[in-house]
Amino acid sequence: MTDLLLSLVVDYGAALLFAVTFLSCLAIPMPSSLMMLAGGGFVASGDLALATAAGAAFLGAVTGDQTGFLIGRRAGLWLERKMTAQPKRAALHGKAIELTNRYGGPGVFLSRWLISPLGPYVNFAGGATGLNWARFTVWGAMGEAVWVIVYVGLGYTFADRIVELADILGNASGFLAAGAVTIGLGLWMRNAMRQAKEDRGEV
Amino acid sequence: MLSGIKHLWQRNKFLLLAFVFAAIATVFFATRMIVLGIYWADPDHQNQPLEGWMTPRYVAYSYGLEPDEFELVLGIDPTAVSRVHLRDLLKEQGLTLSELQTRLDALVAARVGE
Repeated sequence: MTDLLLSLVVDYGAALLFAVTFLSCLAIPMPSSLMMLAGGGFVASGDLALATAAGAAFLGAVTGDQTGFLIGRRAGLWLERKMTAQPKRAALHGKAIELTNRYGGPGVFLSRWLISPLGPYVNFAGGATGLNWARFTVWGAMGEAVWVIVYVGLGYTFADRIVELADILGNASGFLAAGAVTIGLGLWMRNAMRQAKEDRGEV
Repeated sequence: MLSGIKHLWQRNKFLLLAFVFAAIATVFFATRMIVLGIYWADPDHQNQPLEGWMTPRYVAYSYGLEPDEFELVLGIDPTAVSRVHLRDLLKEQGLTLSELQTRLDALVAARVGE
């Protein structure tokens, strides 16, 4: 499988990097990390040009983010019509939008590269909860630039060991994403337990 | 704490299960990352064997060979061909990957001996 994927990078170069990063931003499972490392490796060996490889990966990722955001926005508008029909739900919806716009920017940035497995869902959620489009685009593009520079750069630096490196980095980003979800769920649990205590009148 | 968890289990099983699952996944990925990282750092495992997907330029680059040294091994100048798979070149020449590997290893060993 790895053999086939790496052969495809040699055969299709930048066009493949564009397609893979585009699809990976829409929650379609893609070996984008391995492909970008390979892209960096083939830049080092002189088989691919740096500007086209990195540029294609970046453009694919940004276009994919925009598409995910638009899908989320469409779904969000439908949800909004349902929610705003009732005052209680409308308040909740307003709160979600306020929270997203307060913390959304850095969240979008970090979910591009550091906790990238969560990236596609942040695109959908950002669109659905009405995150400001310009803010999403600016933070997102900066994050994608970091993602591409880090992965293509590592591929370039460790060109002769890209397969093993992809395995390590895949687990590292799995660890960070699962860790972030665990912390999030932990905080939610703590609030739920506190709430339950208050309800029982123990506080 | 325990009564809180018990209460949560009665009220919101999904949240508790999701938390446990996410925590297990975190430990799983952390363990694999560390094991693979240790393997990676071991100098004995740092020579990547030849594979069919590699290109001549890539092989020359990763083995630190000059174009003329590479030409000695496979009979072609790696800078003259771009984005060609090793497996296709070997097929043309009637060689196998392991034969090429033996030649390369001999060349690298000879350089170390110099």
